[in-house]
Amino acid sequence: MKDTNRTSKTLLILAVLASIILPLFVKARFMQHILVMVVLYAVLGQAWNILGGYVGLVSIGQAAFFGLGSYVSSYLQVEYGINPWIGFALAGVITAVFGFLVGLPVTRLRGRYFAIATIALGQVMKVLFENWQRVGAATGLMLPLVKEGLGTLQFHTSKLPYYYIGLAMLGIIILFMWYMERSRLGYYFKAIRENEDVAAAMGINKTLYKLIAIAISAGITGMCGTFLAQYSLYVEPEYMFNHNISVTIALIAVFGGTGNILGPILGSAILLPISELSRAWMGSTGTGIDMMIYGAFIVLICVYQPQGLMGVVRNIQARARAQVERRGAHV
Amino acid sequence: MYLQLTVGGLLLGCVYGLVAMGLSLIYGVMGIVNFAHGAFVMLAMYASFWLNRFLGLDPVLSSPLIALLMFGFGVLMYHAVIGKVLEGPFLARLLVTFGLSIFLINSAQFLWSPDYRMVENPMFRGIIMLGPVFIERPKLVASIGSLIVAGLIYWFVRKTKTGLAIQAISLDRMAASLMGINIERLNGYAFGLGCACAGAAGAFLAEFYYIFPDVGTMFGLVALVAVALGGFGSTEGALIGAILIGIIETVGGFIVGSEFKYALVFLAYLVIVILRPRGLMGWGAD
Repeated sequence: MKDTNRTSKTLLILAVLASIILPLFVKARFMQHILVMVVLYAVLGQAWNILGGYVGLVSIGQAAFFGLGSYVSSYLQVEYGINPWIGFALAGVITAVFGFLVGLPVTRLRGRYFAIATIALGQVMKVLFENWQRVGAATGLMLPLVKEGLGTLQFHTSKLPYYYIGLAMLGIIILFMWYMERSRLGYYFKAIRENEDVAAAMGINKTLYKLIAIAISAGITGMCGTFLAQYSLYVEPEYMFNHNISVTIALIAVFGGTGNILGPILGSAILLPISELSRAWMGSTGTGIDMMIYGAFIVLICVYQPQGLMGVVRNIQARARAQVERRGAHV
Repeated sequence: MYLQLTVGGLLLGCVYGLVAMGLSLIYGVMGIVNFAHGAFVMLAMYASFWLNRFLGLDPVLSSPLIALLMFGFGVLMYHAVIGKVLEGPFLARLLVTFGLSIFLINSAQFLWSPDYRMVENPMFRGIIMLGPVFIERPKLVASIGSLIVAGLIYWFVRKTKTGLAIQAISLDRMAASLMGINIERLNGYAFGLGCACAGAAGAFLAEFYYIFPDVGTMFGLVALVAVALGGFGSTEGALIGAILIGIIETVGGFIVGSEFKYALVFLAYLVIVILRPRGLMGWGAD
């Protein structure tokens, strides 16, 4: 046991070092773009994971929080010249409160009723922002170009700073989830996922903990919205509230495996390059062939890999362990 | 004015009702929320368009043929994809039809370009006056046709032996299988029937609606809301929910502005489902 612990620690350190050092050698802007998207969606996948993987509330409307967050910081910046870092923090707070308020009625729903309610939420938010003149309606908002730097959260010469900011976000959320898994909160979440009626009978305030989960998930997703707004320097409803964002987030979690920390990172690291590359190679033809591949990929994952990559890893581990035990019995 | 709008909503609701019924049937039998249902409607619309273009067949007349084609397509889809995820985890069952929908919509765009098309010289055109109310003839034909097909499906499921077997599966899969019902084959039939509903609705819609790759998405989502409104698993509920939605969409859209009409539909879903977490007539597990 000690041995596996040591190997996994070494692997972890190697992975962290690789994620910090290797991107420095990536010079092509498009490759840098893929790296940024991978960390962004890894964070989004983790935020989804808190709600969907740990509490068991499957959301297909994360774009509602994502878009709201992107608009909070952008509007404050365009209208009042407020620094994006403050907007970043405010986006987190406001979307968390929004998630909490939306959650008050919605967390009463179960299973697919909840999932469809989140789709409905995403669509309603999109329509509202498309028609809200104050925030630019369907045209959206353009962020002012300013001098690049950490203070202004804009970088023009290289995309790598965005990558490192995203990586820092990912690191923080992983640490948070690591502690959450071992805390009372994590156990309450899992208890609600396994059987909320039993959990409630054991004295867990299920409504409260569902609300906490949706608020955390929404807050992080909102901050990711700000991140993408700073990255692309414009926001518009069709882009920020796009239903595909919600589907991709859920898909990453499914592909990687839900209810554990590694799953969404693996999912994002494999899925996002595929989706971005197919878009770059074939998206410009306008024939929709890139999305065809993407759709077929979703179907294939659901049919052949429904337990996610972590499920495969776990199966291999279990088989190896069983083999060791069998050998041990012979001695 | 409001009478006019309500009638319009009612006609629209009947077409939604047929789409929703297929969705509800599929859900009731195999527990799959079919997010690709709108894409099936779109495929049917294209099928009627091409039949019209090359054979000169009017969409309304070709609707039985389209329904049959879509039935076959549905059975095929079931055995190729859906049947394989039925035993899988909740999330895989939920997402697989998303993937299917994205695939089908973009295949349509790939094959037939994103251009808007319309059936030329449809058989039913113009309006008729019924007292103070204008009724567009193609919409009237579409809603009556939808009701007829819905009635046929209802009869099939309630009265024929195959239909009863399908019902038995939706009540208790294990017991049905022990009674010698071939679950795989009948699930395939049920999925095919659901697609046939979408197919017939698509053919009726093709008579007067623009045809483009993304056309089905809203129909599918609205039908989904209708099914959830009526309560998952209840076929009658789906029809009632759909008619309600048709009226909310037209009357409400007139009051708050048509750009908000779908927001209104989704808000109605949120409100009703929050008041009644299993829909108006829903039953069964989550």
